[in-house]
Amino acid sequence: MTFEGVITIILYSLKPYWWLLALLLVPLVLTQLSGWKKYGPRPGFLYLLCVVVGIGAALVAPALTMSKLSYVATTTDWLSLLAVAVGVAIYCFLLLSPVLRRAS
Amino acid sequence: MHPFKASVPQNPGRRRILQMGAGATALSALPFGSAFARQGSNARIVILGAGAAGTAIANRLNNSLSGAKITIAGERQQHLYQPGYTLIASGLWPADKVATSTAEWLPSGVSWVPSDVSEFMPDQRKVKLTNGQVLEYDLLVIATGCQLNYTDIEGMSTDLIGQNGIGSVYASPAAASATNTQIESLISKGSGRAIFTLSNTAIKCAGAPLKMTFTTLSRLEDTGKRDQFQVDFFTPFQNRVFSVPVYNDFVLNRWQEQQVGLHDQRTLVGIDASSKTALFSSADGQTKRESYDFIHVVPPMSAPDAVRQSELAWQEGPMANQWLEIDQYNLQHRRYPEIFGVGDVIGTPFGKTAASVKKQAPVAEANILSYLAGQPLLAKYDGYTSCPLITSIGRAVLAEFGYGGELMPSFPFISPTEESWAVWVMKEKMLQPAYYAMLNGQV
Repeated sequence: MTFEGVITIILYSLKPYWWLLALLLVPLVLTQLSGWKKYGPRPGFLYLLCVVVGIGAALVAPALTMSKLSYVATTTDWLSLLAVAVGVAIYCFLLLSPVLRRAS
Repeated sequence: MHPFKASVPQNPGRRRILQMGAGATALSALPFGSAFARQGSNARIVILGAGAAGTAIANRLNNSLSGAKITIAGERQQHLYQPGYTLIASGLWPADKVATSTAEWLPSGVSWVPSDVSEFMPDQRKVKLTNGQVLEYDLLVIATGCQLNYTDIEGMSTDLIGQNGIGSVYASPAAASATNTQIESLISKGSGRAIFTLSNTAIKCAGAPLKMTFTTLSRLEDTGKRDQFQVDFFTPFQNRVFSVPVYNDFVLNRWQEQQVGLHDQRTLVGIDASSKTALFSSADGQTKRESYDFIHVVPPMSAPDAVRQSELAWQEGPMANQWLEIDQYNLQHRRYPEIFGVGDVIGTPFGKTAASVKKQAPVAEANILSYLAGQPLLAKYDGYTSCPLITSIGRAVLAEFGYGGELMPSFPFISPTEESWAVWVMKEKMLQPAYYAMLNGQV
């Protein structure tokens, strides 16, 4: 399959979820704006929290797709799950960092 | 002599078609031709069938030709995403998830006649529709899909699906939903015998009967009372349920582990719904009755009667009077060069899935453009067929193969023989969007 074909299919696949992506973007923008002038250190537990949330999301991802964690078997499966964990952890960090960061 | 001219019988009107396409030949030969130029033609193109294959080819030709008069004929008002039927019958999707409007997918430059074909007059280059209308063509694309011959099984009809333990995933979304209801009844009963069958003809989505067996097994196992249910699979073939050996072996081994009884060389020939009894013929000509609490019926299939009773069907060989006679590589009719075939209707060794259409449509498009331009038909269909073979609710194998049973994996990171959660997600979440992109002629 061509690269162009893959991109086309991804865009078609995302079509029903644009609203959800937009919805996820709203709190992100709000928290980023609220933390605009904060330059202080981030609390240490933030990193741990994001890792825990990321791992949690990865663990429930198979169930959310009507599957089971025990069916995650191939390298591609594990990499997909890892991508879910990393993606959610990054989102969590971007979302909470401005809120939890100290002002100076 | 031009190789194409030499290989094609002379027909009335052929010179006209060559003239129609010749003007654009030079332009399309330029390096940027495929990206920017639409090939000029005033050919009258008729596409029979407004399903996956017909719609995909209509969009492709509409995008690649200018000046052509393209008409598509197909009665069904709803476009049905048939690869979703197994998910409906497994209780995973609602029936309405697979239905959209046919009109939604057809480009504005294409005329739609909501009527099916009733008669072919290939020597006059005409087709008659069920509404009585006669369409003349310079080029014909047959994409009618296949016909489900439920009544070839004595006592069986589509009306019985959803009653007396009878299920069949193929007939419609409603039938798939009714099949799910019958499986739920079996499960709620707490014990019983489930029979799964296979037809002795070529069938569309040959993985569907296997998927239905696997998803039902998955549901039975989830009850925690799997041992209360007897599950049997009846195949007309000798120790074979799938035509590609690697997948056949995989399925048979797995079923052995899952204690599925395999009954080979047994063909479903009759059904008595009232007594929940099925009649199977065997290789020695004997017939035997089997009682069931649930039966999944796979009907014999063929090209629609209008095709198989016409002179366009194969005249000899295993597909004689059953399927459209086309060259398995260039998809052109073997005796009528102005006719092409795409989709389930074609008589090729493989190629009756939506994924096959995805590969056939660009080949047919390229060869139709070449034909109109009087050039050799160079594009070749390799028999590509794909089937995300669900082996349990939640995992699947991405079976991809072509002529000769050769494995044809599309992605280097997905093994064609390994069960995978990612393939399941692909099947459940991404194939329908990919299918719609195909309908629009975009992949």
